[in-house]
Amino acid sequence: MKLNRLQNGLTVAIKRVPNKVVTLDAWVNVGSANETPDLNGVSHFLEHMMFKGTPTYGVGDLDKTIMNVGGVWNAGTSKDFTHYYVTVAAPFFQKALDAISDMMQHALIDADEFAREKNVILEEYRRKQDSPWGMLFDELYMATFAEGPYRNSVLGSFESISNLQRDDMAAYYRAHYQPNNMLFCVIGDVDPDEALKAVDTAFNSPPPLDPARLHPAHQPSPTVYGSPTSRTIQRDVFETYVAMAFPAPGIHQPADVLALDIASIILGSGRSSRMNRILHEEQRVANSVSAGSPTHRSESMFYVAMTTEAADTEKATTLAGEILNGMASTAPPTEAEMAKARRNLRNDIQFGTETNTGQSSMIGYYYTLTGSTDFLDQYIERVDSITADQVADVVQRHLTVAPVTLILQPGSTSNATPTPQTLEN
Amino acid sequence: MSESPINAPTIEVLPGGMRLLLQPSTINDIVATAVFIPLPGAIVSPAEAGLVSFLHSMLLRGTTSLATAELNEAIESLGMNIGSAASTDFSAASLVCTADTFATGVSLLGDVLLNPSFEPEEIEKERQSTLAHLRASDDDKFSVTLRRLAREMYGDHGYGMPSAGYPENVREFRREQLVELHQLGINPSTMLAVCFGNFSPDEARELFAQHFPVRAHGAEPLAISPPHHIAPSHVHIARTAEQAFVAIGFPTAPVTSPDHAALRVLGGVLGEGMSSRFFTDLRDKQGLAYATGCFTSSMVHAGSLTGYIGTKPESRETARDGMLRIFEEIRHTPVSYEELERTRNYIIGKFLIDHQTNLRRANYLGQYETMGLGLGYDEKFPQLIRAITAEQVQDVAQRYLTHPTVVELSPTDPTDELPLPVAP
Repeated sequence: MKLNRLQNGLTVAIKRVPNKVVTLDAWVNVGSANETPDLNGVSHFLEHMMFKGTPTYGVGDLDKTIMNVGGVWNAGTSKDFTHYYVTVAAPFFQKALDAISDMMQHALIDADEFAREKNVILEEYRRKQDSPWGMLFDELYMATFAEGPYRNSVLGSFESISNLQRDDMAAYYRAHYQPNNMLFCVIGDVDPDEALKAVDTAFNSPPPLDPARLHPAHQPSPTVYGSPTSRTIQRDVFETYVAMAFPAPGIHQPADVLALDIASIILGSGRSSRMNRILHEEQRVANSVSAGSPTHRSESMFYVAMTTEAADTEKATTLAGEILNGMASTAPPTEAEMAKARRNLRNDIQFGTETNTGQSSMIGYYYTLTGSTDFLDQYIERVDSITADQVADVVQRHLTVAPVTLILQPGSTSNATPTPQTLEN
Repeated sequence: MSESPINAPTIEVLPGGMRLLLQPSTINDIVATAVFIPLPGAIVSPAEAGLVSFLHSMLLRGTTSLATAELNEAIESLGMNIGSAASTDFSAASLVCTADTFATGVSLLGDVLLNPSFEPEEIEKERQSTLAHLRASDDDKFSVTLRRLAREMYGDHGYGMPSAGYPENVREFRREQLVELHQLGINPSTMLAVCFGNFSPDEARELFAQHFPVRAHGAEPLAISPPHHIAPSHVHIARTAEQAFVAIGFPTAPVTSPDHAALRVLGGVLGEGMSSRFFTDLRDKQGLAYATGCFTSSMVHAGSLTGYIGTKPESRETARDGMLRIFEEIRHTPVSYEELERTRNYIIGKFLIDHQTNLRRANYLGQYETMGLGLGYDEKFPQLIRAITAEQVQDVAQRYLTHPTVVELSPTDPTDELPLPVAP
């Protein structure tokens, strides 16, 4: 894969894949972590507004242009990034490039469209409230992070969305959607040199006034983790949902991040994982269980998620804690578990990059978080070098503390303010 | 553009009768296998709804030679994925693995499909999991709405029942039922196996001949009968929720019908993509919803076109009436050439883009054959869509969008049967 830097600061990643289609994926180094409380939700709302036209493409014309050539496109906003991706048959590369490059550089953010789209965003907010896991994880982030960039939801609160103003959004767009704050990926059946020339021509915005804007201009307050707690929320649900969270390192601590990736496989990925084997198969106190380590730019979290019978919740969370303590002390990972975890992480990358969008997502995610693709390029090699002792150590340091535990169970609706994590347009 | 590293597919019949469709490719180091089994999820009576899905879940709970934990370890230690599930008209199992584990993968897949142990303790564990899954399904209110729509449109026919069944059924499933269904429904002689990816055809032939041996029982494919006609209805479900959901379904035609391609284009014009009528009218112009659109379901003996929306409860009637208006308009106003061309291109483009993973390619190759459309249909589909005219779209709209069944879910007082809204 070739990484190139254009004169105006735009980074371009190009990789040829001979599969007759091409994906163009524009990554912007901005997400809800960059928002002030007043503007909470603006990154995601802006992502919707980007599709609403430019001076060249009227309202609806961008969508029609992509559909006319049989393309599919969408966008996603998260804590640390926003990205816009389109996949078309390779002969329509230029047409798709014209549309997405114009949209990235010259979005209108029309006031009438803004007012209409606000209703759509509020519907998206309501929809999220009806999703048990979506709602619970938003609550989990707010309980885990007392302060800092990741406490705020991606979607925003009902109030913050309602209060957003068009002009504030336009200013936010101008501040962050600058070429040296973006990565543009081209993955697919194209000639890399010709593609680079075309991208250089299409992204002809001048360099921004502030050329140092590669990482967020707005520096949010440092992360302060919330105190360990256990809280129950009641809603119109039939199953009981449990989420436990532990403070975990951000991507700036790569050795710990990789060790936690391995730990998450051994603990909670697949039927042979420790949590599934003990909680579900042997003790039968959880109906399903998984563990994961979503990595952010700075301080992150590790979670254990379960569904249970309401009566089994306490036993299930206690056992989960015992499994974590065991891995840190008396039962460190076996060599077989380490080999399985390494194999699964390698295959996850291989299977996850079968599609062009899978490839551009991985490149964009790691580039946006770290400013290079080294983390991804060296991922397998570094995972292979992590030892069982390192995994036990990282579990000891991060996962043996008292967690934040949230339980969503059947009952009358209680007050809670859910907010989602990663949102698709 | 570069030359494709994908070979042409070949099909052959192994000595035991199993059909093997092979398409080697060096585009990546992955091999995907999809095994199509003529065991329809919809074959059971209402009292047994969910039994086929339950059987598939049990296949991954131990074989006669590997206990559950050993089987899980064998699959996951090599980083492979093995799955098995029922759809309404057939069953399918899948294996996705790296090229170096293909031989082990086929061996495990054969063991899983042909030698399940059905240990009583494992049945109880699966029962607990399935009941939990059913509770979680009922927490997804959009899914609740769509399942009720299927029930209203197809009644007690298998097409009308949820694939995972009902709790009262699941509590009663017995080992003997599973053994009998397995013997009747799963036999290599009636299977079609499709491999796509980085493998040697000779090795694949040997592996399937070895691990999918001839069986005496279950040599006849199981088939289902067409559903009876059911009068349209209008139903309300009361649930506490932030959003109301409306689903409107029209019975259309089976997948083998000459109308199939025109119905796909009709569904596309109405509700696929950001330029569709549902999206531009109900979402972009009226701001009624985040999620709205249409989809077509094409089964062997029936088909349907369904529109859906999720909106705040006070907008439910506006949204429902808006959906019905859009359905009505397309019956009377011809689709413009621009809209037709855009929709045809979108459907074809999406279809091609959906062929990027090896498993999707294997699935496309096998599912059309299994549903009676023939092996070449995967190549033919874009041409069929390309040939559809505005007249054909209006013709199917006029013939099929006539009797809507409406299901609404919202947090208001329950009303069992409501009068039909505007009948187009």
